[in-house]
Amino acid sequence: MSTTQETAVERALVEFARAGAPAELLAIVRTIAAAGDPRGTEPLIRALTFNDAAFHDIAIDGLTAIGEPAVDPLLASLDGMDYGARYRALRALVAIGDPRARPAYEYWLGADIIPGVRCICVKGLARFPDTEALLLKALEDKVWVVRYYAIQMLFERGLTPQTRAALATLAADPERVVRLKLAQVFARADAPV
Amino acid sequence: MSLITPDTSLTVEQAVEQLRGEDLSQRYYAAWYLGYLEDPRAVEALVAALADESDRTEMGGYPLRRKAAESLGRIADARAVPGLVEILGCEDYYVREAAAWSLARIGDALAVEPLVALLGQGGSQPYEAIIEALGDLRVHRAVPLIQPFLQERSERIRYAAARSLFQLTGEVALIDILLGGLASADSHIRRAALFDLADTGHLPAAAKIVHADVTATLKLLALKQLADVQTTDAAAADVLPFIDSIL
Repeated sequence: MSTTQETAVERALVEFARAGAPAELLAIVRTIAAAGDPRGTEPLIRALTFNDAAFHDIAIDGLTAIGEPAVDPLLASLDGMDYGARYRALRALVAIGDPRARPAYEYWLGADIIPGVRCICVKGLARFPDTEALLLKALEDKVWVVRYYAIQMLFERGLTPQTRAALATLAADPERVVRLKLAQVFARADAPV
Repeated sequence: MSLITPDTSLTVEQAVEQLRGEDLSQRYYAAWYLGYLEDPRAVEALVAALADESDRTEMGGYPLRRKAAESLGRIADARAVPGLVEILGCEDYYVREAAAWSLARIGDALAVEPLVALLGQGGSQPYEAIIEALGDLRVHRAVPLIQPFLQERSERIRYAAARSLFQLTGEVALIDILLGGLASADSHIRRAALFDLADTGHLPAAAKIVHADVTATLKLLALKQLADVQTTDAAAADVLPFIDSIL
């Protein structure tokens, strides 16, 4: 990082607390996010909770760029967040890909009432080789998008006789898109290479 | 279908009992919950609730009737049609709106005449719901009746008209009207146009839905809707890559 950039981040970190107008704040958050500087972790986590979608992807990308140093603060913030912010924090954690987040994926997959959160937890868990039972459980989720997503994740890991048998039970799923996803996944798995 | 999972463990029987009970807030909750369960065993009790006189707002509205009418649409059982047609004449605007919405979902031809009559009746009517129902029910003779609503002052009614007229005529220029709504500065209008676009079943709209300025959850629901209205599985499968691109 050049000295000029460093000064810009430092100025932005100071300005973050003082910013008056949302437009001004957005520019500051952009500067912090672009820096990938661990000192930006706290303001970027706060930006995840702002009630303005313009901040969210920028903050997620910024936290992803910070990477490992952002993991513990993100994990510590999950409990106190509303579901929207929690969803975004989990997205950042999945993008960082640190194994310390695994218990959080497992917990929120079972605890959160928002399907988007459960989907992102499925995505996080799919990265670990020994999470098949949890992914199979997600196939029984009440909301179609979680079942749909679990099918996709199981497929991307490579189908085994066990996962095939579990997936086959979704052939009579009430949702058309789930049935079609299943058919697509089976067709792809069976296609000659 | 909502993307929210309610935290509750009431059985259908318990909820039906609550709906038939005395406690107004419990009855209202039960009416909503039975719609969420989509269980046809609830139909009789919900139809009975369409004639409820006890739950009134200060303005004279019928909250329980509204919720019961909506839940009957979610359950989509044809036994509800006569009761829903009857309350198209209810003095509560929102009861008429819920009834029109539900009659569209049930898809019974018995609803056609009363809906056409209501569209032509004039006054303050739930035009958006009536027009959408006539499109969903594929009432081709309603085309000249719906056409003037493209000139309405209300954007939502204009988009409902464009949506239903596309269902009935396949005129691609109507899609452009809806794309205009998708670019609106008002997030409520964008949302309405998004689902109107999905309801047209016009597959090239999938890419527009993916890039719309709405939340990922809304995009997913709209894409699922676009898949669900396709007449063949092969056409519906074309929507999957767009769903995958959001997840």
